[in-house]
Amino acid sequence: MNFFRLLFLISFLTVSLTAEDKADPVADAVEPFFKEHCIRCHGEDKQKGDFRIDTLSRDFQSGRDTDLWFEVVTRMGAGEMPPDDEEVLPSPEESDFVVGWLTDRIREGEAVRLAKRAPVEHYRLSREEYSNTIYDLLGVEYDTRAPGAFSEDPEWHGIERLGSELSLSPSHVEKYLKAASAVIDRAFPDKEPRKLETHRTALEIDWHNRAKVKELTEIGVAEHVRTLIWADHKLSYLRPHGGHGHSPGLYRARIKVSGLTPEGSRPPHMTLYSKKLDRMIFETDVLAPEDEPVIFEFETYLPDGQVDISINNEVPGPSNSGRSGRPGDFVFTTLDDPKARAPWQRKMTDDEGKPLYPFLIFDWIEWEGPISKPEDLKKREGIFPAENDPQKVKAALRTFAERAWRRPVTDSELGRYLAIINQQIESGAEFRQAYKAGMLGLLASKNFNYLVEGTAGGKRQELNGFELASRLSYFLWGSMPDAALFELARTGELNQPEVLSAEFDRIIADPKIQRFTESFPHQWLQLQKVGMFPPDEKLYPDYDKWLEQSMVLETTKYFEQVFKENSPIGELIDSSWTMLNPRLADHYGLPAPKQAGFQKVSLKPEDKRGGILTHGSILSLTSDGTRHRPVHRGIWVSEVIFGKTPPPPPPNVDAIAPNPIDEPKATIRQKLAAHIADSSCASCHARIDPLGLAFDNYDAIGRWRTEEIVQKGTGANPPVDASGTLPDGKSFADVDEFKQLLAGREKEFAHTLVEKLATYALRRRMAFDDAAEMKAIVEKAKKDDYRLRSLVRELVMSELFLKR
Amino acid sequence: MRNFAAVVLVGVSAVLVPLSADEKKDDPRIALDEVFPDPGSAKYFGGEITLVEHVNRRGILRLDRDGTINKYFWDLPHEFRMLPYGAIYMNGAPAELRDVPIGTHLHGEFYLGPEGDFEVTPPESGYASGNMPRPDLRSVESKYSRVFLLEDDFTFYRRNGSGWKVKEIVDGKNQIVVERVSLETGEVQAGVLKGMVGEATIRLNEGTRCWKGSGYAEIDDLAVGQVVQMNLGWVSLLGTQKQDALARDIWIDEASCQQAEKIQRGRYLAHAKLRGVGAKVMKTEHTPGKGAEGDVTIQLHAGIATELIEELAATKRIVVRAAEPSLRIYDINDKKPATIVEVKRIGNPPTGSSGLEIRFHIYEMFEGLRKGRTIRVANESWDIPVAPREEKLWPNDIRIFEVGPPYINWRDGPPPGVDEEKK
Repeated sequence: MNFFRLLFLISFLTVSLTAEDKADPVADAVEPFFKEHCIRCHGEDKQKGDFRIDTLSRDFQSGRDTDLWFEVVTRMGAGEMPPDDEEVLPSPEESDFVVGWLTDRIREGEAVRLAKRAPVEHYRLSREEYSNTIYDLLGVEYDTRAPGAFSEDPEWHGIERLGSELSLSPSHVEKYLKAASAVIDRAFPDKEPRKLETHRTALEIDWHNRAKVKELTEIGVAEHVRTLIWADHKLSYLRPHGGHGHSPGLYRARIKVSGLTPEGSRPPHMTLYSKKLDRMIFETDVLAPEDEPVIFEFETYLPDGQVDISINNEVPGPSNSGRSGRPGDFVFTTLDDPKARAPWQRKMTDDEGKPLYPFLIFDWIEWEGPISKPEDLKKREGIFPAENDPQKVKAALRTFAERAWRRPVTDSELGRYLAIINQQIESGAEFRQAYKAGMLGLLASKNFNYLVEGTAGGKRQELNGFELASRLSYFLWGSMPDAALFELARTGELNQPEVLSAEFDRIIADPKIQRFTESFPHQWLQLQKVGMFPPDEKLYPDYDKWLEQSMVLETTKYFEQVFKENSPIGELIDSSWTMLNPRLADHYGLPAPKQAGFQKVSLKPEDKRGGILTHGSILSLTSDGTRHRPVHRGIWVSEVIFGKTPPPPPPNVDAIAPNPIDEPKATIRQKLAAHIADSSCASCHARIDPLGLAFDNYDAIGRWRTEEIVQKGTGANPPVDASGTLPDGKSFADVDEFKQLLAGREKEFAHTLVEKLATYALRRRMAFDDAAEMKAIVEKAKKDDYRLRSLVRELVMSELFLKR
Repeated sequence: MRNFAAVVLVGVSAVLVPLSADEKKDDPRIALDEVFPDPGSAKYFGGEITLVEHVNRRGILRLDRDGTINKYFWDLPHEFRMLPYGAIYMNGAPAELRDVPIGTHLHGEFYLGPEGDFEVTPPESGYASGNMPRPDLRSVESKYSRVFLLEDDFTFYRRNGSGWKVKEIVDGKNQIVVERVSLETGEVQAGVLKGMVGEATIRLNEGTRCWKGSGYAEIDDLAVGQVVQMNLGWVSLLGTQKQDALARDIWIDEASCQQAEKIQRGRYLAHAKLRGVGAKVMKTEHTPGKGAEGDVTIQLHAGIATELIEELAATKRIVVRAAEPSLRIYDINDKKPATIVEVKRIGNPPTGSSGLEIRFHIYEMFEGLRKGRTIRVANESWDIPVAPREEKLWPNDIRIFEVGPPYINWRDGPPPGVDEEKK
């Protein structure tokens, strides 16, 4: 094994950010390469293309020559440099090593620059955090994802809360003002909202039968009428108050339905959707026999005015526009009487009365609202004085400001907002409006929209109590601290390890921890990408939005379960269980759970599932909607499991072309092998591809297969080959063996996970300075078998977490 | 849960809910639409057809005065309905009810309907009849309302190997004396046989049609010693068939019989190919996860021409439509294509079945494809462009009418709208 190969292995097997990297013994090994193969044409004597390497800055952290170094990486990666006519050419391994080394340095330099902290650092709240904070502050649900609300947050490798990424534009300011104004008005409405209670029956929501109410009542059938909603069909008119506007606020709905699951099919999936709000109001699978309907209850915020709400049975089904889909003048009351259906209609039950399609049967929906929950009302206590008493006004505004800004507020800070109130009153405004203007100012302030760490003019490293409280709560609750955390911050006790430890326990026992178990895996595993390339409808006709959502939910709920049970992180790689709902069970070809919703199910080896790597979500997000992408799967594994991002491909690399119609059908793997025949590509691909090829038994939407379906070409579909060899020489025959190999590299995985958790918690990239502390966290977690919750606890208890 | 006719057909009058197959009593005399009946449990009746409602395959007979019915209750209307698998024959060939002229004497096999056995209180006879407040003016055998087989004299006697030997031509060629003989041996047939047995005097009149070879013949062509076939009418007007029946048609020779059969067969085939033939659904098997897709096993009804059965047995693609037990379809556009998977011939088929069992695969079954239900089947090549409006049930059944009691002047007074003073 030559020296470069050895270096390459060292580079690969070591996590990206270790203290050793900083000393970088490897740099010396790269310089001879430049000297031997580059400097002659790009040095002091000659500058071909006006380019010289010897003068490029080796200080990657400064970022001074990053663009030029990137050019070097690109040209070398593409095999253009050194040129073929050179007398002495480097081996592919040597070139590959240099490209990899330079890539790592460029990335590390970038990380250091992004991790740099000014004396005072501002971290903008992501839109998810903004919503959570508003709810925890005032008990008002504000949907920052609604159309016209906040823009999408930029993400960096999936993480959506990096301070360096979350910039502020004028449009943000405008939206913050609009949001703050709406939130205050909802919390403290100027007039008492008009309460309503409505009950809409099956006959009322079905336009076809509404005209027959009188007739059906006369013959005593009206009260027995139910509305049958076919698969892939919907009915409108579920809104709370037909025809008239309603007051904005939180509404509670109860809906009574049955859901029938046919043999070999999925259950009906009920969605209540508002086109105007562009939002799902409620959705669930429904598993309830015809004579045992169930009642679902949910709450949703509805804005002022009219909304449209439709009930949909979102599972694939036949069109009813043809004659066989229309029941004529028949009115539905039960499926149990086939003779009472038109004989030409599509058959709905088999001869034993079992349903043939996933039918949703609607009875009624009740709306009640706007409702005020005691716990939400409590949040608004003491922050809005009833009268214009200066002392009371000041006290109330201070309470609100300190909670909103998550820290004590000075008199001079508060004075600015008291002045706004007084100015408003002086200019003729009523007290209530004037006070709201003051609140608006506080809520639109950067002190609310940003987490602020540091002291102006100072070089403080440690977080103060309030900063720590916010870091802790935004890490694990995605929101502001609660009263207990504020109190411990005020007394300065929070920074004490035993207090911090107790608070950690209290925080993870709170239901709000679900925000972490949902949001962190979403960002770490880059689940935003699920559905980014919608699967081709012709190739994957069974794919739908609910499957897509179910895939994501499987992964986040799986993470939640591992966290709850404090299982070793190895469970994330491989396991004998998963979290399934009926939709996903159907997709995986596993027995359907008896109930709707996600539940933990045991897996057998023949089920070919276990661990997040075989989740539909992961297998989909690494595909392109048409076919699986082994290289992307490999890059994903490399980034997410090993924390290492491979060099980018050279520019102008052609994508793998579809199989020609007159050639034998070939797998992507076979075509990839031909594609990377170039030695300059091969060495890099040899590192990436095995990590992705191991999952070749799963198609672009994560279904198990033993042969790869190739659309065009001659002969039979080729069998799948999921074997491979890792750069360290270890081979695997299939995905199970691959997962076993990964399981042996738990420590590397723990390093990556700590790095991702820390990035998420500290809202900045990790740099060299952080490497030693991250390593220490991993070492401590090792004593507890790298259990997930323990790993998170060690992070919270670490020096790293307590520092800016 | 009480069944509210759970799906209500708004705007259509009451739907008769018969006993289901499961509810069928043990009485073998009962025949239901959903199941083939017990063999040999039917009761024979002869009679003359007085009303044909061909669209719904029902009508009224005036039963023979053959001694089974008390003479005081003779001639009362006997309403009948063809069973879905019930067969009709005319001139030795399969037929539709529309092919049967009013006044034709028919032979039938009758079952009790789903109502089972019931009594009809006959009207008082003699002087008391005029004072009876609400006489039940229908056949005392009305309970035998479901017809499994209906055939004219020509078909009935030929099927039984019988013919009529002309023994004498009398009354200036206005009457012939005939005797039932075996077509095979020429011997006189006697004993306990269905239909007329022995010697009979049959009247002829100007309307009697004689057939010979491929065309009409004259009365003069009749000769003593010939063995003929007849279709009778007026069988019970003056007494009994044997004494008073009127020959409407006489086929003098075998060639004329075959010609008659050929014409009727042609008429039937044309009719059947424009509508499809009846079949009973024996079994449905659904493909799990594929909705209404699956396999259906049917048996073609008895009484379908052999040519059609063989054609359907040999084809690959068929078209099926939902039908009522009356064989009425809803709409021509209800057709669903299907692919034949298996064809089986059943030895000793159930009564009402042709013995040809077809299993087909269909991508979307309709509600009418359920065990026991009736469908219409057609070869894919049969062109069925349109159905007469009155035969369809979609969008409305326009065949809803009540004949009811006619206007009788002395009984009902002046017709509505006529000024009483001008009367």
